[in-house]
Amino acid sequence: MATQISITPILSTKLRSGAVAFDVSDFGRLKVTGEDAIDLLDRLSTNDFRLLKSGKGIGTVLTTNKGRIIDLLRILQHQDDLLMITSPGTAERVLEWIDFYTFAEDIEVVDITADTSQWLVVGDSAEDAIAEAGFNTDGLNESLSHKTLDTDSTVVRTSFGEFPAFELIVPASQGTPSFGVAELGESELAKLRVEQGVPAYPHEMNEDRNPLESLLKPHISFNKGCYIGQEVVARLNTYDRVQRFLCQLVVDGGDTVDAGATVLVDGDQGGEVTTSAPGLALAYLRKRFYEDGLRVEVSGNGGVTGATVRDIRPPEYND
Amino acid sequence: MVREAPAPLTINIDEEAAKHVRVFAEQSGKPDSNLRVGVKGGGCAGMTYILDLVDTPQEDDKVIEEHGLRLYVDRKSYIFLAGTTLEYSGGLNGKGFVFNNPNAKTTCGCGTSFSV
Repeated sequence: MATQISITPILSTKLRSGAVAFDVSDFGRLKVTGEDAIDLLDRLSTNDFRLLKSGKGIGTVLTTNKGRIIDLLRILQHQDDLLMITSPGTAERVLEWIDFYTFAEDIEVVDITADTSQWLVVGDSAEDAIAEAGFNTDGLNESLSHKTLDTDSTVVRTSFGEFPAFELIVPASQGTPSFGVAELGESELAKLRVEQGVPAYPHEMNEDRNPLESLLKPHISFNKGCYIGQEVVARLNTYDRVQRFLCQLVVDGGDTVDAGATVLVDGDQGGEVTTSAPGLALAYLRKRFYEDGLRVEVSGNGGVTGATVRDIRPPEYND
Repeated sequence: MVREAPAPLTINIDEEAAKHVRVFAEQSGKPDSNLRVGVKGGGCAGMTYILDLVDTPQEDDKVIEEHGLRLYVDRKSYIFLAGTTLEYSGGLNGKGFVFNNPNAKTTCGCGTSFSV
């Protein structure tokens, strides 16, 4: 159980009474069709595609045969096709990966990133902001439930850390929706990510990391059967072999530490900072040191700074 | 000294395996069928083998004939199977067809998938 540590999460405070919008069009969007699409994607990634139904969605991790992360994908099941949302800059890699493992399957993957734009609205009043822009969210009650409107726009209910969120995917020709809330940029999104403990590619998720250490366990099925990398991921989980986990660091004095800085525990190398914001950071920390409230030092170009560890593992890690 | 050119890589089936394919074909009520051999993405290691009794090849299939049996292989699978010998194991460690694939760098614990 995480202890409450006094921090000043400026963005998160704003979101408790309102919402903010981000242009996240740099995420990749792939349209997937074909009779074998679901079967093939199920064989290539960690989650159970039997959970997928029209109007619903799942998160799933594309892994290498060594159980390392290619990308975290979000798959939305439309009536006649799937919409696959990749991380920023990974659509081409994902497309190539799927193509490499396609033999006789009936599947077509088309990159529609340039033809569409994507918006993320986060905060307790995110639903009001989406309505303000003229999009109906009726019936979207669970994460990744979605619907396509007659404007060819897709509205998706998601979450961002502790906050409700909606994402909107619209044809690029439709221009910028007006949400009536502040639109913030990439650096603010990175700050919010650190405040809310949300991992992202390539900082926390990449081919040097496995999905268990990157806190992606909610997107892994342990009884679906084989997929590429399954043997490694299952062994890491069953025999408790994960060596490190992502944590949040609350940095003394509100300092900003360097991404790449070393986390020291009683002088021993304990981990590495991956993303940083004023007074907070995300870092990988060795399992033997992973303890909520543990005092550590962060050593980077700016010198050595004290910090406190926060356990941000989701409930799936309590098993 | 004249060096002999290396034999072209192909896919072979040994006599014992061919005999078992014939037995399965008879038991399946398709005595005149032949064998589709291929690969598909998936399995822990990345790729799994496919064996199927079929009547005819698909367009662009490579057709290999040995021990009175035709093997049909799609072009992409052929890249990962060239040099493979399909054998039949009747030993105590498990009974069934075995792909002896020189392209396989690693296999998963249960031996049903491989990586290149």
